[in-house]
Amino acid sequence: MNTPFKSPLQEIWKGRAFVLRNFYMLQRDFSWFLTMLGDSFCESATFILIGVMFNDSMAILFLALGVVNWSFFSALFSEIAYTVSQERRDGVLEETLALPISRLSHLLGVTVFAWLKALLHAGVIALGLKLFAGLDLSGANLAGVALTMLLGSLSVIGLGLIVAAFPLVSAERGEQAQYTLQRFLVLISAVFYPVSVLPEFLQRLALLSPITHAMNASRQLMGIGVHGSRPGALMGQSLLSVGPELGLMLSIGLLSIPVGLGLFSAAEYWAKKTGRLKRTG
Amino acid sequence: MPNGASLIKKAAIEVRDLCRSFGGIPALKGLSLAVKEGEIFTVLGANGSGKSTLIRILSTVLLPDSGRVMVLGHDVVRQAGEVRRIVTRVSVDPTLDRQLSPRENLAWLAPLYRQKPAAVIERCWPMLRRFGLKESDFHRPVRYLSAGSRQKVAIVRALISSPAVLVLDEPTTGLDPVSRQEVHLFVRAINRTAGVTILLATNDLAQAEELSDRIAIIKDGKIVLSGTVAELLELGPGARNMKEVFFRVAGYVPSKGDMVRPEGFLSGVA
Repeated sequence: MNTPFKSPLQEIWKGRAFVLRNFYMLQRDFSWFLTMLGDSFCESATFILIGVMFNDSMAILFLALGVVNWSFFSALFSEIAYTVSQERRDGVLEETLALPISRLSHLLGVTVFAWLKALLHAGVIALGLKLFAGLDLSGANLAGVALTMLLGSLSVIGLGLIVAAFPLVSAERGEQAQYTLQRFLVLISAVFYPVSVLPEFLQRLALLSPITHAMNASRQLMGIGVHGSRPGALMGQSLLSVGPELGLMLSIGLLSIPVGLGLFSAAEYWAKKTGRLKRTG
Repeated sequence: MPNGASLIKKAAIEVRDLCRSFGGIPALKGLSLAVKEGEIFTVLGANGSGKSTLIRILSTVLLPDSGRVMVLGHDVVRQAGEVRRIVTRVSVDPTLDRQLSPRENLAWLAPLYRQKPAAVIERCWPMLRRFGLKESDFHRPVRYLSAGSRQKVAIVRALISSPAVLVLDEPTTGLDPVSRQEVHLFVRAINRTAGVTILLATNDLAQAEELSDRIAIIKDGKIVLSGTVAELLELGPGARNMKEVFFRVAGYVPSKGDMVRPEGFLSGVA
């Protein structure tokens, strides 16, 4: 008989099963992954060319930063948020939830893979854009930007977990809500423009998005908006100067992850109580 | 000297007054049964009788409205985590990741059971080969395999966990007679050699008769008859086989088939 794991760490370690599973899926669907990567790159390059059109190197940098950040955050968010929808579509949702693994370990495994895949996605986009746009990033605090993305990913993971629960409550409406929220997130997070460009009522909502704060911090760390800063001689700011943004992202992450896990468990209980795990609509 | 109490087979599964409805329509109405450790117990009933609902509650993916279900002393609601370690389910539709090969479907589960993927493959591949799965099919996405092959993979996959209780929900639906017999032999072998308790839900009378230590006939969400095949045959005077027990004694009455009038039904067909 299958014996219980002796410690919480061993239980968490079980989550690597889902890293392995998703890795196999990626291998099998690798041509699709490349196709979507190509699509993502073309879309990203389109944004960069807006800056080229205005012959403004700082605008190019501004848009490139937005593109790389959004590539990372949206890939991370999607991979986690759509995990239930995808499993339901594949007809394996009940089997997955019947496996002998805690929900924390299961979702941790999904999250780890999501993070690695998002990193790969964003890394390829960043490299491609560097070659495409030929930007000189000397003077930028790139390590700071990497740390910002790492802290920002905590909050995006939490958001992803919250949204992953939606299809457990309602299969069809849940998926629609997921998609709508993701599109809304890119709008209010001021990824490709400063927050001040948004209508006033959306500016208030922008403060709720962790990505808004990640973008604000990343721009300062790159030296965007700093007087005298330009590609080749960027005046990237120190981590200390973006302390408030980093603190906010960390707080949102530390709050949203347990909230997401709790919501997911509650939604799972609800789905089992109402018999909705098997439903497709 | 063995303790007398230990000689009595205790219940592996105990179900008491189980009720479950969907949208006000009852699927289980106070169902009670007990499955002894190490036996093959069949729940036999027509489509919609409540078999799958019972199976889903046992595998913790559905919560009951009322009643109690215990698996080896663990409550399926309050101790769902423990139950998931003990029970493995094989569904009527083999729920494998269709993009992945049988090899990958088996390998990724290994960490859940403190095993290495290579060790799982080494253990499972010989079983699948004996089941007639070709080596090329072992590495091909499951969606390209026949229904029979997929079900065999699902059954072998269920054994990775070395379950104490195996729950089979119409495992041979859609299989050809040869594959069905292979599954029967395999299920019996698992039970006899490893002592795995098996709860089989089926609407196949012959399968129930062939495999079971005991059978419970379920109708409209309740157990109407239960016992060994011999005991059930004795219940209906002159009942010669399970078919007669099912229709005459358990009360399943098929329609006479006169609801379709051939001339009206076929009118207008060129």
